[in-house]
Amino acid sequence: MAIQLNDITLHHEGQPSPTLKAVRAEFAVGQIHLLVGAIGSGKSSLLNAIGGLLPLSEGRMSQNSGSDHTLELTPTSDAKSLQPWLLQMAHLFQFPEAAFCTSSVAREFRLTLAPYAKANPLAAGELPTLALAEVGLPASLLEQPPLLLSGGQKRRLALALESSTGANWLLCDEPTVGMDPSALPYLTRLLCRWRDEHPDGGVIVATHDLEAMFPICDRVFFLGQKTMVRSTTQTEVIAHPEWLSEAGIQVPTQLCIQHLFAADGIPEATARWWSLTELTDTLVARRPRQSGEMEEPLPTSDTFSRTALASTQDQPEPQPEKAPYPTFMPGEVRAVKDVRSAWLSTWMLTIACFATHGPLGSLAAAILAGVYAAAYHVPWRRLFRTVRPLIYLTVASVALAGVVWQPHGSPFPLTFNAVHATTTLLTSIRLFAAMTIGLLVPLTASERSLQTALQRLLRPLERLRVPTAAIAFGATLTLQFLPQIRREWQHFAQISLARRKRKITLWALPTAVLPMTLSLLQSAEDVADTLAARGIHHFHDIKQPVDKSRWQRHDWWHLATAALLFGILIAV
Amino acid sequence: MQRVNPLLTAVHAQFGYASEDGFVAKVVDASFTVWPGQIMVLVGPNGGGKTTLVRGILGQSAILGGSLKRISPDAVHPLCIRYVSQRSQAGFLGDTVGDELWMAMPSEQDWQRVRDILAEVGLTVSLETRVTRLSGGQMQLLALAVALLHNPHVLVVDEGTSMLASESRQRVVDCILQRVQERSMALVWVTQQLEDIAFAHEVVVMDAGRLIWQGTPHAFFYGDCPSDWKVEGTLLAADCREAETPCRRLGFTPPTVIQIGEQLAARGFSPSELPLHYEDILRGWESHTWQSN
Repeated sequence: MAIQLNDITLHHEGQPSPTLKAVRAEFAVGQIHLLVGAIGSGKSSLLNAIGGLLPLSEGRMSQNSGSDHTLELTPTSDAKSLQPWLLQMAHLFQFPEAAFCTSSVAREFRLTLAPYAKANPLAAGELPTLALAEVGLPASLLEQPPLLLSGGQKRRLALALESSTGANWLLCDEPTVGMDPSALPYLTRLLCRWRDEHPDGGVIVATHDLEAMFPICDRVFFLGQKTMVRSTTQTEVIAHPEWLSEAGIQVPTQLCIQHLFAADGIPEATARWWSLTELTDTLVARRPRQSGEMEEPLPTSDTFSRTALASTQDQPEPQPEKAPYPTFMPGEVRAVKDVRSAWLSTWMLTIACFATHGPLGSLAAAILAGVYAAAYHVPWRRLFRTVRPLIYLTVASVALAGVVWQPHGSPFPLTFNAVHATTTLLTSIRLFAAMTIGLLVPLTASERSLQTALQRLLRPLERLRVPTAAIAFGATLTLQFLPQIRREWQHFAQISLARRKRKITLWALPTAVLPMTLSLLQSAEDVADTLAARGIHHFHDIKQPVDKSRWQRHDWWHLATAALLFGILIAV
Repeated sequence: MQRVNPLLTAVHAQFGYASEDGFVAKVVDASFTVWPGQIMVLVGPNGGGKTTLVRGILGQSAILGGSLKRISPDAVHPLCIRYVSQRSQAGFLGDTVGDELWMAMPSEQDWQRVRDILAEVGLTVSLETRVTRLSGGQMQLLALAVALLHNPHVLVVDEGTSMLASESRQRVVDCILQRVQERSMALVWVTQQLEDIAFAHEVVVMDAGRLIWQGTPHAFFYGDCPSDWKVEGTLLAADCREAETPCRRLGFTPPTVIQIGEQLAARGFSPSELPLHYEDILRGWESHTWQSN
């Protein structure tokens, strides 16, 4: 069933601007489609959306099969309509081996095949053995833990798992990244077989590595500028390699060679993808030109060097007018706000906001909060998200405070007392201002600057031989790991959705422990490796950014201003 | 590259880690020499021991047997080995590009040198830029700049380019190769991309903790397998046919240029005429190297 995308728009969680917008495309059956684009162009997001793993923000996706029923996904689709869509999709993730979570290869098969058990009676029987044989793995592996397989075997097992499902579409995300060269032939063979054996489906590959994938593809979709910029056939791309370089992708070597031939009087070289024999024949058949024949000068090797061919359309990078590297001396390393002065000032002002009173004080507090928020370059959206509950609370309490219950002497027992409401409103505004100012430092200071501030706070302890730099560094690392745990969990939830075909539940939690722990250990090892490679073997090797610790004049100004404002607020 | 004054010599070295049951060797037998100015490319399947070997060279995996000598060419300082990893952003300690370079600087207050290095690797961002705002390619270039600050004798790159888009990847690769040439430092380069092999002086294939093949790129792609070559490991579990070159024998699909070269070899062209990278094809096409008689 062909997949149609009708103006779909995708957002990443917590990001205001869309990752991709108004994507319109059709993926025909029986073909291998490539989604190409530079890193960050949104090809993985689009692939996940097609696979039903990333909800749409706008638009509609459908799978039509003429008279048969139609599957459809919209931004409002529920789990019930999502499942039949998921069952059509087999996913091959980047680093698919990271998803193994059971104790044996046979169990991995059981997990993957469970959603298809009704449709495919073979699932429990010999299907795993057949699928393993297809990728060149012996059936004896079935009883082994998947984590103990070698890297290449893991990759091939992931291929076998996905090819054993009853899905029609195979979606691959950067399948060649990190794949060792011995597994590559299995991958291309599997993709071609999938295309030939699934008349109701096809293959969609998101990739930036065209050396391996371009020869077998039928259609190419180019992503860029947050949308789909071009959808073409393989033949058209062969004639226009500059499209690839525009999209930030290296032109495959063979295409360079074919264009070399074409420029030298063999125009048919850019009509289609040549076989190796044809390439070699042409190379060998080249005859030396007679001196009389030579009218045009031969193209110089510069014209056809890889980079020249790849960058025909590239604009030179705009040169900055000033020297790219600001000349700075260690003394004035950065005019950054010292976190200590920022903290002290915002504390003072928060207290002042609470202490002030009257309409004038509230007004002053509100203005102050606005000015400070602007001066600290607070991300408004984040600020709004944090204080949103307080806004609701304010509105509700102002409304309630004004309501007066007078059962006697009036036709309407409920009246509204504006004075009471105003008092509450003013108090709320002060509270609101205090909270905004209090949030400024946590919202704007980077983890590193908090680390430096913590280090300075701990500095008096240094005399007691406490490794303060290490404590501060450890605290920052912990802060860094928290978002990573969240990312890992999201990644695992996505994988789980792709394999179980339903949303992750608490039951699946134990299976997440192993892959997540492994990935966190890997990151910890990365940090340790990099530190050691820089000669940092002990805590006291961590160099402290001493130069920046001096309070500078603007810090004093900062504090003085805050003190002045504190006084004014208290006075009014 | 001259084969004098080696920087690293390993003789039957074993690397691994200590566990409850004693020592576990992930690299069982590694013998190799790294010379100044040499580019050594390390390929092999995931889990074959490449990373452990790299960690061993860096001194982070325990050496369990054999020997590994790090020989410094100058009498005062020990051998300086620096490392660019696949995920170098994990090790950034600074907030901004300037911070990062300052914290990594070997001697204090040498900002001129920082600017030189940045120009050298072609990283044109302001020193005030936050490291988290850099693109993947820029992060790798920054990690490279940090590594080069120390003027290392040996640079170890562990798949430093595999996550990058091809254009920026090409830039990082070119940059690394140029620096290596200019400074005559040695490069130990772990990669999954067979195209990279063409640039090397020496190719080392690792599997199951052993160095199962060592030689020049030309021998790797076009040479004969040793007749008694028998490999215990994961690689030959692949269905390798009657194959003649080490590359084919190991189950690797060679890059396009090499496949053309194999066909040329089959038509009787001499080994010295066979191409290793695209530039060879270009030259050959223009100079009529493969003209049949």
